[in-house]
Amino acid sequence: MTGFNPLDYVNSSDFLSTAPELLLVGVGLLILMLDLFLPAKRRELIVQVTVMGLLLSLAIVWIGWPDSQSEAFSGMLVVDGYSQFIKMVVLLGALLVVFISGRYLRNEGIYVAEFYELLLFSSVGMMVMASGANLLTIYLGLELMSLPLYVLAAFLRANRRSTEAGLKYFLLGGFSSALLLYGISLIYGLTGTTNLMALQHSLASLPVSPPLLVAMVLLVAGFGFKVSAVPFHLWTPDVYMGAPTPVVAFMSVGTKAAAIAAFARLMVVSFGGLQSSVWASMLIVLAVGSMVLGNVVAVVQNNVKRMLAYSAIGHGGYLLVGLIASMKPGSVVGLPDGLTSLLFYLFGYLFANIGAFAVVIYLGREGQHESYEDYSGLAQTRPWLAAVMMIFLLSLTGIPPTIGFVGKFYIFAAAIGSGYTVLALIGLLTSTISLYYYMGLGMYMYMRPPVERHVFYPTRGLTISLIVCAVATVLFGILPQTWVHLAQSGVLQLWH
Amino acid sequence: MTVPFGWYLFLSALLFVIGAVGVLRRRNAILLFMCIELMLNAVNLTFVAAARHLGQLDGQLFVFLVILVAAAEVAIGLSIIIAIYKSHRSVDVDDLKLLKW
Amino acid sequence: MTDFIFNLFWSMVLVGGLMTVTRREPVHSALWLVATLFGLAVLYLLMSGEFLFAVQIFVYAGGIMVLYLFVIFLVAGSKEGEGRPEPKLHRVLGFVLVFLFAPIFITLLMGLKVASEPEVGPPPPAAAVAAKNDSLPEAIQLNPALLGPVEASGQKMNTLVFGTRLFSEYLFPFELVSVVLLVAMIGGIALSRKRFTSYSETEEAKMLAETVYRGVRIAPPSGEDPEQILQVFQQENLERHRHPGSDFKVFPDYEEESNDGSK
Repeated sequence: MTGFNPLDYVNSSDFLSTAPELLLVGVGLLILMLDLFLPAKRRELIVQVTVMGLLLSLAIVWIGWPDSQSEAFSGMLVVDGYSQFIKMVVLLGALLVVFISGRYLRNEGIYVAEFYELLLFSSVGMMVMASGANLLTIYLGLELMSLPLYVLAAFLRANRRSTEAGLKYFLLGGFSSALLLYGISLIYGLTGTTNLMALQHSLASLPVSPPLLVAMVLLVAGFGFKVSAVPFHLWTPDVYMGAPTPVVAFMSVGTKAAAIAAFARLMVVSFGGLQSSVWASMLIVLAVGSMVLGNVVAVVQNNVKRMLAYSAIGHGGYLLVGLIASMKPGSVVGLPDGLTSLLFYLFGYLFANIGAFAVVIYLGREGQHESYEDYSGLAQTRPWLAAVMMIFLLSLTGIPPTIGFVGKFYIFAAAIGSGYTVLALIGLLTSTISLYYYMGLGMYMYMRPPVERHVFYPTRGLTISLIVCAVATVLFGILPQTWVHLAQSGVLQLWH
Repeated sequence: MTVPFGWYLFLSALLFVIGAVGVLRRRNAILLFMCIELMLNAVNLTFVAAARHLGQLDGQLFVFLVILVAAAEVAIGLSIIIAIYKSHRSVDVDDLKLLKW
Repeated sequence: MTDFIFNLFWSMVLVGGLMTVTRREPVHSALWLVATLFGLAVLYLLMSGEFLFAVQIFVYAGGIMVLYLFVIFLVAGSKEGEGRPEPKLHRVLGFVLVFLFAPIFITLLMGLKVASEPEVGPPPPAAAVAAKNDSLPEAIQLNPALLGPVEASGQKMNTLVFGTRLFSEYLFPFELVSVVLLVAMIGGIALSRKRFTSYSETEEAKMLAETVYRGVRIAPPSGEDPEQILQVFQQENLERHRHPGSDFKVFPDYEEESNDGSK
């Protein structure tokens, strides 16, 4: 057949609006080539190219910050302030992780270009999820995000804990994405479309029938796994403990951000109508379970990575509260406050959590020096390191003047504003519990005598990222306005 | 051409449940993975049946893309399983005890 | 005739699925899975998915399952649950799932059939194309003239339309999948390549030495061969990975000096 040319169906604006993603794919391919042709001595260049690519992509996101929503690739993607905010979080996370991982990879003998390639492609998957305007794109973005992470979790091939973490993450991840996909297929069968905007029209008049209910449960299960919400959290502690620490740092922030972003878009854009009360009741169970279980079980942990894993489950719960707050009971149109608080919370969580994992890397090699005892007396041997860790712990707890406080404040305020006062109270209560274990680690650092030796693995990259994270945590805790406004304008674009 | 839509859905639901139960019951990592394949195929059947029912082609396009993603997943999953076998000399998930399974 | 084929392959898929899950030998499971996949391919054909029929056979039965069999033979001898009684909880859980969860799930899904309209054939071609075009942005509307005689007759959704749609409306997902496949290649290689570092032996040695010294912040002890220290370090690195439970010390000889100037 003549006359059919795929290029007739795309135009330059499609490529422009996906420039950050395309650039990262290009950088990934470039590294693939560099890895082949660079002499061993010049391998540092690979890291530099990765950093440059991420920075450039971030710059494109920043410069091209949209004022309104626009579609790309025949409605497969949308670009709006909401998606760009998530992309910014993902890119910052990837950038910080590249900085903290350099020495770690050498110490563990896995200093290879593949690490950076997989990191970049995973970021692309996350960014596609943030922009996805079609269930198909969201699913493919999710797979593109997850597949590299499965490999990265098992990257310490000789280490049994790491391969186990990889297998566990892979099997449960594959299971959950099959659940998600089945949910998508049912939605498609019921409505005949997977485009989020078209779904909005079809679903608006559709009553909650049994098949739709099954589909909704399956979607919640699929996304809940990625956000590690109770009861889909079972993989989290083990994978966080076994996988290489930089990968965990990346996963804890990026996966959560992308999954909840896509989920929230689906929820608010497509299911805003008759179904919102059903969604809300399902999500409340998940949110309460995550907040309570995550924070309570974290109390009895003695391994810092495992504690951070359970606390990550708890933070997933707070994010879900933000999402629930965007659905006012009985109202058809969503509320922007909940999603604004969610975005800002993610932004704060990024710095505090990656910072905390950076300290873990600073203090020990994989699988050692991870227990609380190893942090004893850190304030005496490395005062500034202890101080920085303290800042991150305070932020994760949600104590002023850190960014974590502002994030939690907005989330609970939004929840109360939409009439979920009990949920906000549970959130406050569990935050108090989290104070116990975060400050428990603080006690070890400040109140105990030093252990007989500390071994440190300082690098320039680690120092830079620690400083950036600490400064951002405090500075944006005091002056959050810029980012709150940015998140708010982005969320408002969701409704055009 | 007279086969009703419901029979396909029934089969895909059955197949999906068989796969899901298999994932929860079996202990061999390779078998677990095959059960996940079964679930993915159940999904594909739903898509194709729904596309047929709706008189659209979109469902078939999804299936095409899902099959490709499944192929990628297999490549990665099997290399992880080989890595596990190299480090543990076993692919039985009950033998993987370092992390609480 | 169609009914007979449908019944045959419908049952084949079901039996194949059941056998896949219940066989004890992984090879048997894999072969039953092939049967299931083949049955599904025929069902796709019955639902006028000619292209999918081919893809299913080529990619799944031909590619994926061969890979499975290869890996099964590679890890042969690793039998499931050897000499270990099945935990009671698992058995109970399994029964609960099968007898409770499955019927509920299926009953709920059968609602789809009730809720949906009776079976209708595909709409006449011109109307179908027009309806489709209504839902598409103007730039990618289908040109009925391009759809070919088979599609135009309204009998079949053929490969031409499939390709046209794939490379216009579904261009982005298609390209995305190509990246996913690239990731699969990189990941597979990363997990199985022999030397797991981009550096040569000597460079690695130098860097490791630097790490050791910087890590514990001591000067290389005079009179001692750095290469030797390094060998000890590398050996222990290996040991540590092999026995992650063992209490590995980073650098045992210099432990007492290593508290980073706190003395």
